[in-house]
Amino acid sequence: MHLYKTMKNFLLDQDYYIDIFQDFIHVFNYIDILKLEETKVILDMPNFNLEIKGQDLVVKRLEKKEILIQGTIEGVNLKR
Amino acid sequence: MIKKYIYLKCKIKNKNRLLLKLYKNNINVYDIIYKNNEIYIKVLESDEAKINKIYGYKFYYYSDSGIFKLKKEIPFIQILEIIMFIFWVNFFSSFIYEVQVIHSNKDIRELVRLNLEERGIKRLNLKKDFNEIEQIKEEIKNLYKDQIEWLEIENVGMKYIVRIEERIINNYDNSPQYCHIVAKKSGVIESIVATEGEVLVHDGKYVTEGEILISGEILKDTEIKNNVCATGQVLAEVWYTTKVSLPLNYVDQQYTGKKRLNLRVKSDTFNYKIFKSRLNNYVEEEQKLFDFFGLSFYKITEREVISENESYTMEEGLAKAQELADEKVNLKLQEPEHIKLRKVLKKSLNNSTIDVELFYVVIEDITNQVEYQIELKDGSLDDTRNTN
Repeated sequence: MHLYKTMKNFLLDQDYYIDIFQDFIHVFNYIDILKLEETKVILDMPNFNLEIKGQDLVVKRLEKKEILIQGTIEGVNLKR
Repeated sequence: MIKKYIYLKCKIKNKNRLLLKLYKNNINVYDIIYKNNEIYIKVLESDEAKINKIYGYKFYYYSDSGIFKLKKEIPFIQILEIIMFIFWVNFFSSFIYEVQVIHSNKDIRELVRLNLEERGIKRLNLKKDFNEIEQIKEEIKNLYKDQIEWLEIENVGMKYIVRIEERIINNYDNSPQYCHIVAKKSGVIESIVATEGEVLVHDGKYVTEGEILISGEILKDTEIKNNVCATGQVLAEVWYTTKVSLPLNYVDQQYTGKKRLNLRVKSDTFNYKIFKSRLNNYVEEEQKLFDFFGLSFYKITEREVISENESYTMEEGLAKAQELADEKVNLKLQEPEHIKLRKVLKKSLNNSTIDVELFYVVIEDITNQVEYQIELKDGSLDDTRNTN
């Protein structure tokens, strides 16, 4: 797992990234969780805030640098 | 070290508040399952104590995760059964259950089948590895060069399918039309037997290498009347000198008749004898049994020997050296070639080694058929061949 993460960091040499799937949104390297509700999640990101709007939003995985949110995603806003 | 993950169960009213608390306490959550008003979180076992300290929530152990869960749920005997099952499947699949030889000619099929059986490719025998199969293919092809053009042994499941391509030889007559018999080596003629052609030499004549002995040109009054391919056999006296060195001290090994069986396991990286050898002085005979998971198993027969240091006297050493020299010369000879005379030219003793130089007079076949071409009246060369 350590090797995998090292490789991933080497290949993805970025401060952060956001992956949006059908029912998921995966955010890597967020700074803080500002709001966690069923219809809205706000994450503090470097230089901006990420606002995720949707229905039945639930956290499926929660780590210090990564978060995986499941639900019907209706909108993603960047607030500077 | 493998990290151990566990699932914890907790009754909640507001799931997000709990998650935020976990987040604030630096606890990573690797999976979250929501069920009615319960939440199941997958966390590191080492974080359990930290989680239990979170105020306002009561966590219960639910289950292990990954291999630890498997270990708990599947009893040891079942794991053993699975391992044994894999072992037996591997074991039985290393046997041959059918050898199918495909060719329209029954004789060829039978020939190949018998040869394969001799080499261990038969029903209920162990499968061979790639190198052995290649070696067997080459052996059979070399043994039946005139009958087999190509041979393929394919391993399909638990059977071998053998495909053969028969060799069809067009019998072109490559024998020369016109030829002389010339001397392969220099020597004194001992006997001449000519079945065709004109003999140009006589017994007792010294001939040099390349000299024509039996000519293909049939002459009458210095005029060539006919051309044939000269055939026959010319034996001549040929001289050789040879040197042999023989140590006077040697080790004589005698079998006592005692033997012990042993087993050996070999791979690319190691070579291990399974049982300790019970004989002190022995020679080994090795026989391959089977291959299994990249390991080769051998049966070892250890035969006890008694080794004694012996030494030849000068006369015995000389006789032995002459015997060895005779063997060396005889290796080159075929019937009716033979040694006519042998003489010791020089003998010397250096550091318990006897050096002998011998002179040999050998009756040897010096026949060498050399083709020649004749010029036709129109200036072209006659190079026709008969074909069957």
